Amino acid sequence: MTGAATAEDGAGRQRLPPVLGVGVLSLALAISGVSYLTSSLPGEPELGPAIGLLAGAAVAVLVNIASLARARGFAWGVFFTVGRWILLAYAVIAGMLMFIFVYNELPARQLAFLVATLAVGAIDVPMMLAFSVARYHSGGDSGVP
Amino acid sequence: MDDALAGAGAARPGATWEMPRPPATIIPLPGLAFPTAALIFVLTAVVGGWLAVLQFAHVAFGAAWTIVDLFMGLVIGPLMPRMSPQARLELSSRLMPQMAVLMPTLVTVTLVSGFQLSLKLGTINTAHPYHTWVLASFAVVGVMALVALGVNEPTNLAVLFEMRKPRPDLELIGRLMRRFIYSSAVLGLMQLGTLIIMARLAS
Repeated sequence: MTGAATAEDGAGRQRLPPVLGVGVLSLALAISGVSYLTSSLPGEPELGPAIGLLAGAAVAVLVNIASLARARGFAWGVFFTVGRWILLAYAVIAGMLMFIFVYNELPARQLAFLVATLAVGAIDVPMMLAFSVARYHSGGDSGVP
Repeated sequence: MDDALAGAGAARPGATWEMPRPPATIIPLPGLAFPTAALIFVLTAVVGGWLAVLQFAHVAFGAAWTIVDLFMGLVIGPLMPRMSPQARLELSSRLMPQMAVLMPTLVTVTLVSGFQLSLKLGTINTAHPYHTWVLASFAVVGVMALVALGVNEPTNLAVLFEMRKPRPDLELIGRLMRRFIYSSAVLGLMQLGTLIIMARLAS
């Protein structure tokens, strides 16, 4: 999971960046921030540590984007097709969570932090899942077979 | 593909075998009725403030999540290596689309109802005597989310898309299915930790 991936379809084998490993790291940082915050409810804890963890998660996502953007022969068509649908599913689940947070009238600062965390996840999760499909397709594949 | 089948020695000589038809859509569209109904159900329970319904949703969906994971890992998992490649492919082509719909729904409803319950019952408050147990459940769920989103779901999707190729790589599908099943077993075993925590909270 954490090692560099290989595009296994077609004749050529190409090294791909460890998108899943870095994505899981980003997710771990984001979840740690949320756990820290929710563990202090209904109080309002210092947001500093949570923001630090979220910033780390955002940096990991940016590293992932940068490293994947340099990959040659990657099946971008498949990646974006899958990513779009995953993003839609993520939006439904994130929307539910947002509703619960707003419905329970969480303090504004905590709410803003949780929205930012969901936004980081909105890039991280679809990227991991779309990558996991596209890595087994060749660069010539323009969409889902 | 033929080589892969011949290598298994499970297909009868001379027997013709038809490759299982891949699903017309990655996700079975009629199956989307289940997550839609489940999400409406839990949202209604949240808005209505119905404690008993929230408890039902948390226990029922959480138990289903645990049981499916354990069943996949401890029952289906050991069976798979003993099945012929075509039987494995048949099973995968029917099972994996259902899993792609079922599991995220079970997880979402369990987590939403659980969070709402902890707010309603006050167990999430730092002053509550069981607060530490709630934190422990957060930790377990956090690790489970990492396994689910980092291994389980990516593998599930990769299998589904591989099966739709004109010439699917059976060996790759077999490898990915093993990974899916064993990660399900890990999730199921971690769920047992959650059950211990929940039993403590309920007592």
